[in-house]
Amino acid sequence: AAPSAGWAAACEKFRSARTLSLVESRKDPETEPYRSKYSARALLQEVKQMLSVTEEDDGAQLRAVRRAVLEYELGVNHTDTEELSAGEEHLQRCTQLLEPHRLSPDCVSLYIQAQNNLGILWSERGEIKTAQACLESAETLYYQYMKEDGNPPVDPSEHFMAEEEKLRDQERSKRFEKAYTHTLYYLAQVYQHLEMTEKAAQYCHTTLKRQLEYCGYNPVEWSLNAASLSQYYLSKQCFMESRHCLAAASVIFSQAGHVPSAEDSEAEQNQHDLRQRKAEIARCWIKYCLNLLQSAQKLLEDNIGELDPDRQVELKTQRKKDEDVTEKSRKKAVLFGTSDICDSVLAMEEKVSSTYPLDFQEAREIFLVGQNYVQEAKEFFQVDDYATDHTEIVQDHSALFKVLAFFEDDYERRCKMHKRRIDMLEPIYSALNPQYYLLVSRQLQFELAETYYEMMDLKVAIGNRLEELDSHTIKKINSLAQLAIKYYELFLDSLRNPDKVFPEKLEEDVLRPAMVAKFHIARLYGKLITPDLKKQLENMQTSLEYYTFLVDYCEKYPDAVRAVETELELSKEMVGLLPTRMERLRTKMYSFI
Amino acid sequence: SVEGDAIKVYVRVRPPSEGRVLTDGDQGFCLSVLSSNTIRLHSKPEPKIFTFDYVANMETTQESVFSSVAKNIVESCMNGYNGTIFAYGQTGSGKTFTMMGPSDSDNFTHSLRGVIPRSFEYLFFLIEREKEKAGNGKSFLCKCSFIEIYNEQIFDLLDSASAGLFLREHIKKGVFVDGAAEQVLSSAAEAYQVLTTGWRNRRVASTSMNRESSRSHAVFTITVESMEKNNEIVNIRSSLLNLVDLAGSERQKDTHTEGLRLKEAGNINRSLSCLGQVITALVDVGNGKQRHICYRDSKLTFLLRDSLGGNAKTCIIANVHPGSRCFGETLSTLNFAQRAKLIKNKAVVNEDTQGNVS
Repeated sequence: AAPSAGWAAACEKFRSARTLSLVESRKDPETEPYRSKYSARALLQEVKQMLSVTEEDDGAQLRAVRRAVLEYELGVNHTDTEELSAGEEHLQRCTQLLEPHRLSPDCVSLYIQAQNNLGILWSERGEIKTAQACLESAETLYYQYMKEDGNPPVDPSEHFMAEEEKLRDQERSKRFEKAYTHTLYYLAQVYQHLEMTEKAAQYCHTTLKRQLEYCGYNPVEWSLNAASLSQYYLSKQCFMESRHCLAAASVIFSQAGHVPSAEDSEAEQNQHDLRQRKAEIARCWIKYCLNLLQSAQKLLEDNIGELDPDRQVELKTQRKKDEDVTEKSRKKAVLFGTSDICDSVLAMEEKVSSTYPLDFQEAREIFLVGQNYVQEAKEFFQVDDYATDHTEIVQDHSALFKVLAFFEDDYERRCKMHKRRIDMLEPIYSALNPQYYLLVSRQLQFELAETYYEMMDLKVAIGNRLEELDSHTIKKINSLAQLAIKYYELFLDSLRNPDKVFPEKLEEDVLRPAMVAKFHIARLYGKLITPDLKKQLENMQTSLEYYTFLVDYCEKYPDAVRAVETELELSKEMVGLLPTRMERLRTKMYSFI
Repeated sequence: SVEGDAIKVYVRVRPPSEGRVLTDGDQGFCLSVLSSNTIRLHSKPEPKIFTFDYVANMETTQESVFSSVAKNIVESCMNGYNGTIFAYGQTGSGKTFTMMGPSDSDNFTHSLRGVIPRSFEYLFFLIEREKEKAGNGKSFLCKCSFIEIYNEQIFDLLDSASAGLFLREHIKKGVFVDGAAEQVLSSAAEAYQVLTTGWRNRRVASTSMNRESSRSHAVFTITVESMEKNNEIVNIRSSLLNLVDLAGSERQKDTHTEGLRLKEAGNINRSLSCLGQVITALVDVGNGKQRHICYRDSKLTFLLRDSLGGNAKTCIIANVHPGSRCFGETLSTLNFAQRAKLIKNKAVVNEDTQGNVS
């Protein structure tokens, strides 16, 4: 039928309504945020009236679709303005009208979008299961349509367009795919709320992939999302997937473009944001390197935390066998990007391994990559403006050294690595104001204490290989032990209340660290070397007091035993042994008089 | 345990609006106050009991809310600790009344004045008392700033002409708003004056659903600096008191409360910015592995980082409306408040369980 004047007017009104709703509404004053939406709603109602007049000649399906479009627009309009019940009614009516025709190219896209919006609506009411059902039905319909038809379907907006304005296939297809990407995106959220974590991650991944494929992305946002997703894979020990996400993040980020260095402040702000995002991605890479190294350490260490050479040989043999399998699973993983991007991503990936390092050389390569990213992240997160972030990066750097030291078998060199940790942690610790950074300060105190403790142990081990301890080594051991004690004490002091009293009962989250600190201090006093017998006796006395604290505390609060089983056992032993030793020492002292 | 580690949570039930007569006893209510720290929500099929640090029923006076909520925090502020008081609740639940007092009065001496003016009075009362006690040895400097967070942007309510401000974090000073105007205060009345002036600059919006609802968070910060001269030694102490009025809870997108954020991309052309939040949530539940979360906390949580699980005394006043029509919102407010109680000073100490111990 030839288009009537009435029909043309309806189309015109519909177009105005869409403009009001999509464009004008953004400019609404803050005091009347929905002004344009309300006007759009009125126009849509008018179109609805006009339809019943103009449409006698049209076929049933066409009539149904046009009505459905209006119901859809009205539904979205109402939900946008916080009128959920009315919105639901319109959207329901829309899907009912479409139900019989939903697989036809005229309707499929609209149906999917209506289900998307119903999904949003139900989730806003907290009915996640219902939302899930709507969205999954959209997902199913997409598959079915693509299998049975697959031609670019009509976009909902076209139903009120003149013939000559209709979209070309490419544009149709783009919009359709975009609507489906949204379905997946909403499903990711739904699965997240239903605590189906793995599925949620998978849908996030697919959404990202589709954004790339259909060019519907903002490079900065996309890379940040991909980098974040890599952190999810890290927590699942999926290093290959994690690396792929990070490599893609870096590649896509490089497209984000460098805004010409205009003088205006907006461009400056933009640059600042870009630099920050880049640094954030670098920080994700740091965590990647750190996790890979730490997981390898877990695999390789024996029961006292040293590298187990038998395990090492075993794992190296196994790795040779696994190479084919890895290659296969590689192909199964969801890869980002079409050929061009994909090549760049793969090239990026080659710069760092995704398999566990099994010896110092391999560990060092990963360490160096991590260290480079530490420098990159620090360039942005400078201590003056980003104190917490900066400190966290320094802590990561220290952790990288710590795990690298595990792979080093030369004790002297290992000791030097720990010294590097001290050199980076101490200045930042002394600069931090504990009034604002109590928790970070605590972490640093504890880490410094542990590092000195470890260095002391190494010096003792080195000394044990000598015929006799020289005075230099003794001095070194004593000073390291004193420093370790100092930081453990600072940590314990930080737990005191405003009146400087140590808590009667320790909070659960500090229980273990506090007990370990006490235990290590006890042990450190036992390690101090002095020819002065009186001093020896004093040190033993102090040591005994700290061991006793542990034993007494666990007696009083049996719940604490679980947290410190090994330490408690040894403390009990020492509490039994030390008095005898002290007695012997006393006898020795008096025999001199 | 260290007292004051956890966030204290107070719930206040407002009376229904004047002019509305209640019939049939309790029928119009969705909750009842059982004791000074428990509340029962008449949910179906089972009623639900909530326990808080303090529950103020409809008869509770402004004075008594102040004494049980804010007094302690103002005192510890004088002792050099940072303190924060939050008001939380849906639009119309009585937040403004609790914090400021009757809305039609700029009168600082009004008998129904709220927590904020009373805190001012008490703070300056304590300062005067300290000064008298210490004679010339001790001096105080009070400054205040007043900012608004709207759409993740920071505006200065004391200087409405200023553009968006930025948050910085200094190694000595902690988190601060770079460039926010500061005003020196010498009395409670002056503080109140500054507050009411700034308050008028806040953004409000009306929709067909809500007559008026505040869409922004407002943070009023008083810095108290004391200087004590003891012979030659000068001892300077400084602390912050933050008074926070949160946007109506029904439109808080940036607290980690409801988690239902499916929305956003209703408009097909808009970017899928929620995806980042989903991924962040995924990463958040990771099993204690080292990881980096790219998306910063919201501006509000970042600004109040110390207050939320830091080295500070914090309390939340959750305001609820007892009407049964408000059931949904009340439930979500109570749930939020319940969760807030769990926020504690978390000292995550990286500690090796391995390692040689003998």
